[in-house]
Amino acid sequence: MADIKKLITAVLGEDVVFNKDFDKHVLSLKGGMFEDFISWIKNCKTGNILGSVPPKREFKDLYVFFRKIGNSKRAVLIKRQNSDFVELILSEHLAYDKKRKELGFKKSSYYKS
Amino acid sequence: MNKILLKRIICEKDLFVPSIFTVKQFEAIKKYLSKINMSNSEKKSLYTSIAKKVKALEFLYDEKKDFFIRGNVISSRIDEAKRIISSFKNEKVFVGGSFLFSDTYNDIDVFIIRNKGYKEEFKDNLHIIYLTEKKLSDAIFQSVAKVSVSNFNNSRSVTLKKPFLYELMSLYHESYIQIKEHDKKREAVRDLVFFHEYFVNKNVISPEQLKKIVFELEIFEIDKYFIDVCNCLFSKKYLYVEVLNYLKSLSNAINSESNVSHLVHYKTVYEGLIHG
Repeated sequence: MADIKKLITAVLGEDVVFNKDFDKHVLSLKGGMFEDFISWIKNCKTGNILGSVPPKREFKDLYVFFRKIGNSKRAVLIKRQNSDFVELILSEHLAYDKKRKELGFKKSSYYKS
Repeated sequence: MNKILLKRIICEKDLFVPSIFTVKQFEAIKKYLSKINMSNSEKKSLYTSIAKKVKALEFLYDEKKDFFIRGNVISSRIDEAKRIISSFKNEKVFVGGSFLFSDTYNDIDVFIIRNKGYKEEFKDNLHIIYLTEKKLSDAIFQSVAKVSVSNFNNSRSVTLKKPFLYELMSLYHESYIQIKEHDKKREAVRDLVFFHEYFVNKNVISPEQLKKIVFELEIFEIDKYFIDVCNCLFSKKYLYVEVLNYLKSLSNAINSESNVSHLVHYKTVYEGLIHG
């Protein structure tokens, strides 16, 4: 587990904070999904993924990336504009939707709209 | 006359007009159900030609009373849908989604009505959605119900909460990203089209139409959809204040982040929205 976090902080920087259940969720990612997740993180860092500026005023200085992994896993990566990555969340639907709502994004699931 | 059947006919105008009822007959049924005064010719039509047709429909309705089939369902999928519904004993269940109308589908959406709470789960190839009677009135579920097989009448009057501007903006951003990145599901685009149909065109779009539109849309079209919905739901003054504020954040991000062509595009659209 420590190795995975080390690998991620090597890409995103030491300031990044992981969600409480991160370990549980990252360990449950099957082979291809895990590689897909890591590759997405690297692409966010290099600017190959399109991010969003949260429309809520209180988060206007953030830049956010979202990712769906398989049917049940969801990821949110947050950085400060012109600065470092600050938070990485890997979770199931509910926690993901909660975070999206907090940032001012619409809930993700089709049937939960 | 069977009012339940008449109400179902009213909910499915496209299915019955002009194939079974004329526009005038349809309007007469609407007036009859709403207890609005009818002209003599409308009354005559109601108790002669309309009554005869309804009687014939009633006969068919009784024939398959265990299941309600709505919309253009692929006939070879009906038996499978009925089998799935029957596997849930003593529940109000309906099957909906692309399984019923599309050659290709990922999973089969099964909706189960329960007293409390909302939950989604996956079992084999079934995507099971538990929802309450109240939730069934949500526009999104009434849209799904337009093409469905069920063991109860799942047609309800529709409710849809007006979204906040910030939700609409984020939806627009994600729609743009999904089109640019060739997302296979395009969920945000689907939501944006749904809002546009509901708030601008005053129509609950069927999932079949929705799927067709969503995968044909291009960027300039979602720009227009977004602008139309904003102008329909918010005052010019409110849009000006809120969007102007957001433009500042966008400009900061454009200057500080890499690969920001999408942000530049939003900025142009937002400027057009408040100045144009």
